Amino acid sequence: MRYLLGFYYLGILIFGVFAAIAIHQFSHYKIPGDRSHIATIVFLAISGIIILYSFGSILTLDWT
Amino acid sequence: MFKYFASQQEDEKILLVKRRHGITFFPLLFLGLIFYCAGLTIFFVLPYYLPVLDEGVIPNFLIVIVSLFFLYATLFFFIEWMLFHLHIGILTDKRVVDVDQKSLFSRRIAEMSLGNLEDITGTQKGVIQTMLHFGNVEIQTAAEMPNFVFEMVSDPYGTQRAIMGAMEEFKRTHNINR
Repeated sequence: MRYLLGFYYLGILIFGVFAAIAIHQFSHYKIPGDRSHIATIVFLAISGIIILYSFGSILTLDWT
Repeated sequence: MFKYFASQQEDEKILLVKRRHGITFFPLLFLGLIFYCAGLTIFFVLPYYLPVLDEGVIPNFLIVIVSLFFLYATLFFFIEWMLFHLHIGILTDKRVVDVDQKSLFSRRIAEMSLGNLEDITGTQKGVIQTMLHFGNVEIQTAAEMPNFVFEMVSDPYGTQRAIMGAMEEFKRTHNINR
């Protein structure tokens, strides 16, 4: 089970790296007057909900 | 001054900014929807019909796998949106700029002076492009320089006219006869 949790944390870590790169690209090449920040906020909100939900579920599960 | 592209000059005026028509993002939207539906089905519906998925540590496996699946589906969707959003064509009073974000780590910016342009062709092919009024604008350049293509932009004929007008104005003011 430790391996499964390790796999989960590794998955979150890799996701975080790529998400940070994507958000950086989005903000770095921002075009004046556009609303790309809304897409970023929506992406962060959805990802946050998924991470919180899954993390909450994992903490409350019986791993023995 | 906020610049649209790195080499934009202080006195350079932006005449037109074009990106792909929104409908070209529709297949990816559909794919994203299928991803989410598949994930939700595996997580919420399948254990109802297969009770074995609700025994022991299998739900734990499901939560880990499905949550990672959802996360990466969201990331895929966000990156595809970013590529769509950052793929733009710009017309200024001095040149045409084609910004092509090919992938997360691949970006190509091509610029061409309006004096080097020769022919501009707007095309709409097929029923969908004709009905929704979008298509390609191909810009042929002088000599052996590569052609520019603004892909799947809305109002290709209007874009063609705008580029043609800017090109004629540029050649007139700079006394270029071609």
